[in-house]
Amino acid sequence: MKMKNLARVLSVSLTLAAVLVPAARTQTVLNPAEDGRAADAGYQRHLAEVARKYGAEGWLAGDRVAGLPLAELTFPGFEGESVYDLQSCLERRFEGIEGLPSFHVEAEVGASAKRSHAVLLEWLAGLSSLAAAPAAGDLGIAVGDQGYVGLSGGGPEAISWIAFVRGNVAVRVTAAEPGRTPQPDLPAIAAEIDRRIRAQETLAPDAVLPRPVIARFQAAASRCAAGEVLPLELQLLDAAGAPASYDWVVGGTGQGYVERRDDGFRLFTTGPGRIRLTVSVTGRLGARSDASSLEIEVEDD
Amino acid sequence: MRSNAWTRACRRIVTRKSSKVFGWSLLALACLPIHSASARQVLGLTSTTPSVWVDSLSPGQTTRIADPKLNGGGVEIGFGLAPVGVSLQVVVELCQNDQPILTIFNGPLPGSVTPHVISWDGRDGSGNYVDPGDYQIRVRLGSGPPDQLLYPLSIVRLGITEIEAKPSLGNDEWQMVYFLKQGAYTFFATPAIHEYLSVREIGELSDLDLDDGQPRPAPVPHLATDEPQIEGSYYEDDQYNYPLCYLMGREPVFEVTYGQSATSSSGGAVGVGYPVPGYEIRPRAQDGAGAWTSSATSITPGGVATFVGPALPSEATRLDRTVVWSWQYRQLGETAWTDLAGSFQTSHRFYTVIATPQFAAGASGTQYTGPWVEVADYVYLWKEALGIQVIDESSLVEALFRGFIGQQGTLTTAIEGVIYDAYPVGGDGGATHYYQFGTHNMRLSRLLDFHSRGVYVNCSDCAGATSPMSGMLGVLNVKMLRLGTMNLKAIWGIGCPDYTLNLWGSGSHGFSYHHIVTRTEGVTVCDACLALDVDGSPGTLPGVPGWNHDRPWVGTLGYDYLSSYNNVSRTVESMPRMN
Repeated sequence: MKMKNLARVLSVSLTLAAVLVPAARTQTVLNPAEDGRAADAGYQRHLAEVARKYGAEGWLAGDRVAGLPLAELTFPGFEGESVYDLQSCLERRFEGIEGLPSFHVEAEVGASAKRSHAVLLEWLAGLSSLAAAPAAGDLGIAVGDQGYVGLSGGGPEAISWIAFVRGNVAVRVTAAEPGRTPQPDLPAIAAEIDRRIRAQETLAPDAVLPRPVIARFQAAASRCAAGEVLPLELQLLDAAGAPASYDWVVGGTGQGYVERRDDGFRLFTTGPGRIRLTVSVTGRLGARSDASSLEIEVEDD
Repeated sequence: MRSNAWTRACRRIVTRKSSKVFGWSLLALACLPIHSASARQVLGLTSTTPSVWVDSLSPGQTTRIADPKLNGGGVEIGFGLAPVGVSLQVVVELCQNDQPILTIFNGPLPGSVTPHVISWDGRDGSGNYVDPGDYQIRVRLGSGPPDQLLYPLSIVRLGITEIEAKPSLGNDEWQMVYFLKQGAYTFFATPAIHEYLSVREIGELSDLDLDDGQPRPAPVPHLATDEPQIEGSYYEDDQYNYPLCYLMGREPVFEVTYGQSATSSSGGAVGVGYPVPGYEIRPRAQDGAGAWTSSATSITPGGVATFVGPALPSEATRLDRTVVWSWQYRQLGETAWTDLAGSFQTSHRFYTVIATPQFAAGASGTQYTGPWVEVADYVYLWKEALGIQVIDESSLVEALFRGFIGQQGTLTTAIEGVIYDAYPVGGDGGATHYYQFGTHNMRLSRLLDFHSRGVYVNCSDCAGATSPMSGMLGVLNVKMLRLGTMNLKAIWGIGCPDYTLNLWGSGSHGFSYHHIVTRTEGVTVCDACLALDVDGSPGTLPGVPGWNHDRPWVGTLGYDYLSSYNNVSRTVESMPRMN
């Protein structure tokens, strides 16, 4: 049998085998450490593949800036909600005049362009499709040092998301429902955000990213009965101005919640145990403070 | 039935206003049945002599301790009238320190062998409730012989201000979590110190009553699943009734606290009028499933009593119970209890889970305190719609994963109406919208807030949601499973109209990666993002739905074979954190 015919027969045979009989499959099952993705070799391989797909090594590392005043962004016709800090990724939702979510802005202000590139890479790594998302520049959308666009099937002009980096800031703008009319003008929104980033102070290459500092964090008492309310004292130092958000974590075996009243924050204790209360603050320009914690022994009532 | 106690009571309380002869005669009668002819003869009573007499045959018909503000509460006054058939003017008065303060009844009644019972609702002529305190009920004739009876009466105010659900047998009771507060994402756990609270607002007079003296209504169960009770801009801190979470099959335990302040008829704060000297009051409770047991024999204002309720269902479910609280009293040293008229009801919503809630290792924060109310409620609704009895991990996983993807039976949509993020259905290239790839964190609150980050989801969003949802309801060892590149066969994506072999349009049909869930380190898998085709020809259309709950990885009905043509890698990941 000629080699070519043999190859064709083999090819056909293999295809038939794949359909008729499940091939003996061998997979590698890895069990990464419970903490952190760094130890996950499979995840790192996935990131590496995505980096190759998008040519991440060639991404421009732009100048570092002080950050992005996400809480101050305004877009005509939209109402901006609160800023949330989700483990350093800031999030802010904008609603249309009908009161429904229209688009979201995610932003991470990192210490370096390397970090912002890593964030952009993670967003791209989350795409399930085989094809690469088109570069923003290829679609005539001039944003950031590097940007990509998620085209939506909701219409010929519909865009689902735009993700870009500008120096040490990574931004993703996502439409809530791309097919809905009227659509938010994501290119214009992304361009405005990019402009606001570029308007911030440029940092020297060796300058530390300015961040808020928690100068003082105390509770009125270190011990109380469950049901008691403790005033909290929180002093911040932030040259950039008023913080964008506070992130309170009530941990430990005790239970309670933090609520802001006219005279400041209060801890309302609702269950006995040892509360470990942690606060971190996201500054006006998006950089996060170190976390500060204190412990309170809450006795059973 | 006459008892020694009754005899002693008669000696103390029953007096006659006429001569000492009558008084002594009545004392002599203490040992005789008053209805007997001989007793009347001793009194010098004839069949024509108007008189009132103690109804000795049914002493329980004369209330000794009452709380008229209870549902069905009130006072009953029993007495006899003679001679039979003669109409007599009778006056029943409420007295304090022997002085009449209120006329309860004034009218004609016929003499009869059968005693009369007057019911009084505890209110005065203006409709206001009489204040807690010690009184006497005086029954006398309006004219003629100055016969009268005096009964002691204590008006008290009974009620519950707090109920704390406590563990039944070890770690089997948990607080529940909400994720919204007036549109903002923040977490709140039901208070451990009392899931039920009914006390005065700042500025109000008392805990048990409103400022107009009416009884304070019991807070109704809070049925919202996303947000706790809010008052103005703050969490409600005076009146709430939150759902309770127990391990299935356990007997709930309530520690109840009794109120100690009431509102007077004159608009002030007053005490609750007990303990009544010489008496003890004990609490009782029951619901539709049976009696709640308590060893408490005497309550005090502000005191607590512990009750154990009938066992909860031996399945993960949701149920509502109404507990009827009542009281009994007895004289110190006596054995028999007398029911105190009236009762008070509280209603409670219970969720039961199959096992201890599980969360991401090392995670800290209110969102990890216990099951989210919305998640527990979703699984309840799904298992009801799908006809699944959730008694173990397998059945819970089935209810959760089939319910999440929906599109079966009465579940016409996926959870929160989400749709797979693919071009042909208006999405894009399968981007993550809720799951944070870099930080391995799931924005579950946003998904449950009617997909506030958008209607489109991808596999990571679905796996990132269903893994902690499973864990918080008791499924052990739940992890995300990341799959490598997949050359797909026919799939039916979440929220999509049908099976497809062209997921991304333009002939592109594959995954660069995929995220699913496992609780067996990848031996079996769950996928709420898509259904596979189980019609025997998984690479062609049309398809027959194969839902992915605990589907084996290998085999002709295995996930690997049904989903893809190529050799798919698997990597076990931990359960994500969530917010």
